Amino acid sequence: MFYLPPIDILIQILINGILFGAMYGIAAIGLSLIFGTMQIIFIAQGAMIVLAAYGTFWLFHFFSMDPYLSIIVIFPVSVIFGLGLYQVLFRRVARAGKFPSLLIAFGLMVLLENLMSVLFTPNPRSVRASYTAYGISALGLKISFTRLMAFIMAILATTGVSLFLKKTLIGKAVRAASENLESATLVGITPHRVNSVTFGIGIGLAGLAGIATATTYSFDPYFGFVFSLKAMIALALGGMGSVVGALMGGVLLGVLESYGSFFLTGGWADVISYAAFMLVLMFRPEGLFVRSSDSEKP
Amino acid sequence: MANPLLRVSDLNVFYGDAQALWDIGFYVDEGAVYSIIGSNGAGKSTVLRALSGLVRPASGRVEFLGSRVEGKGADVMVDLGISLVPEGRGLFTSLTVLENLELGAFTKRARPKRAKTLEWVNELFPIIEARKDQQAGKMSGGEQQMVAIGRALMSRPKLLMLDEPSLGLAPLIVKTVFEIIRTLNEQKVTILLVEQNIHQALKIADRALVLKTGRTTMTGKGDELLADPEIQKAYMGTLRKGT
Repeated sequence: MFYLPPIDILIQILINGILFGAMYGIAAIGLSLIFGTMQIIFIAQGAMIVLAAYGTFWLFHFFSMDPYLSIIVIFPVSVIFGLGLYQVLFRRVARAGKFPSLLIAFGLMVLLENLMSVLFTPNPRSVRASYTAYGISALGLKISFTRLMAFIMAILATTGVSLFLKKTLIGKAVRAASENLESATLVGITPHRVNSVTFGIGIGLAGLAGIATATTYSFDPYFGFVFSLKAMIALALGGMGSVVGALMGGVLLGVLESYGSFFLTGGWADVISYAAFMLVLMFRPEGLFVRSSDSEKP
Repeated sequence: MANPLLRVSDLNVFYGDAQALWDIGFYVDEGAVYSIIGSNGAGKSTVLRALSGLVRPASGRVEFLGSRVEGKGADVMVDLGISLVPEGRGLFTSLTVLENLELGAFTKRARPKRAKTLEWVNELFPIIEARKDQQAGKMSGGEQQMVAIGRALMSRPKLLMLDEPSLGLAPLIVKTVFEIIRTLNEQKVTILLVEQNIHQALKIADRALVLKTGRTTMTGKGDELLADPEIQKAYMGTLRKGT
């Protein structure tokens, strides 16, 4: 028998899903940027998020640093790590085409997972601050403080990246290179430069997602792969190359999963999200939130 | 004799195993218009792609302003002063017209002069200024060609290379495009032009080179080649004489 719960519960699930999904959104924006210039799915994005989550965890554990304060450490370190990662691992093979880059990203993911497992043990960790279990009650709804913070971080990150791409010259160069790499080099944009910028921002966003993860979930070294997959689904739902679309895709995925696991079970929630992923790719490959005229390529 | 702006000698280019250009050599004097003509697939675009750094030549010399530049990347070439308007224009269609132009001045050399160059480009193409906030992909073909030329000019080129600028445009617009080329040349921009519109390309050129399946078949002054009976027979025919 199908059971329809009262409306306030439905709204509560909706809000949980939105807050939850915003995190997928941050990860998806990073994937989208890197995909734009390098044409690869950076499959190690999830492992980067987990690495940043460990960073948050250890800063909290050893220095009692508040997870939200640790943004001032985690974010810049992640950006620099991303820039370095491109220079060391990808610069050399970027010219050889996408396939070697994709393999390196895959190798990096497996390496990081195992490295974290050896160094940090495979035991699940989570950051338990004084406010971790705190919830804000309003209009009969209960909103988790840490999830709300994750959502706010996602909104700020999306706004920041959008402004960067729209207002700065290097941001415009990233958009130009994503659309037409050959023309971009003809005006003097060095592909390595835009690639390392997108890596810097992409991994920087992974840093933010890591903080959000550490405060809301318990995580282990292998948690990242599923996160990468979810970010990929969010990206497919939202549309490649659109920052706001990626966030919306993440939110939509969060809502889908949230209702899926309430009405069915957790396992079914995954089935639903992967099915949605394939259906969208089949029938609307440009994404749900991209106006078709914007996705037109010459 | 003064050194030419660009001197190309024994240029050989391969696409994989297939040789696309065989021992191409020519020179372009400062302030000149030089045309490369030939039929479809003769290798005209390949010459420009090699000179712009998009394709790495297998052998040969390219001297620009007296120094060797062959084998350098496209991002370096444009900073040195060689700018290509590619076939099909290659605009950033999702960006606005103004953003396209701003990126045209991306190089270190051009960036400080951006505001001034933009004034010049706006003067040359008033239509661009009027539609600067429009998405470049939403403009007509002729307007897009002007934005593409404007974007290349933003880099302050010493040599402007145009690959089939008249391709796919209505006859009236083609005329405008050639008028623009003439205006630019009067303003001391050196131009290397690749065209299938052979009559126009030879009329405007100081010197020209005829390519056939990757090899040079003729070089000479534009008007001499225009009057050459063989060229008339091979490339223009009687019907197209008046175009």
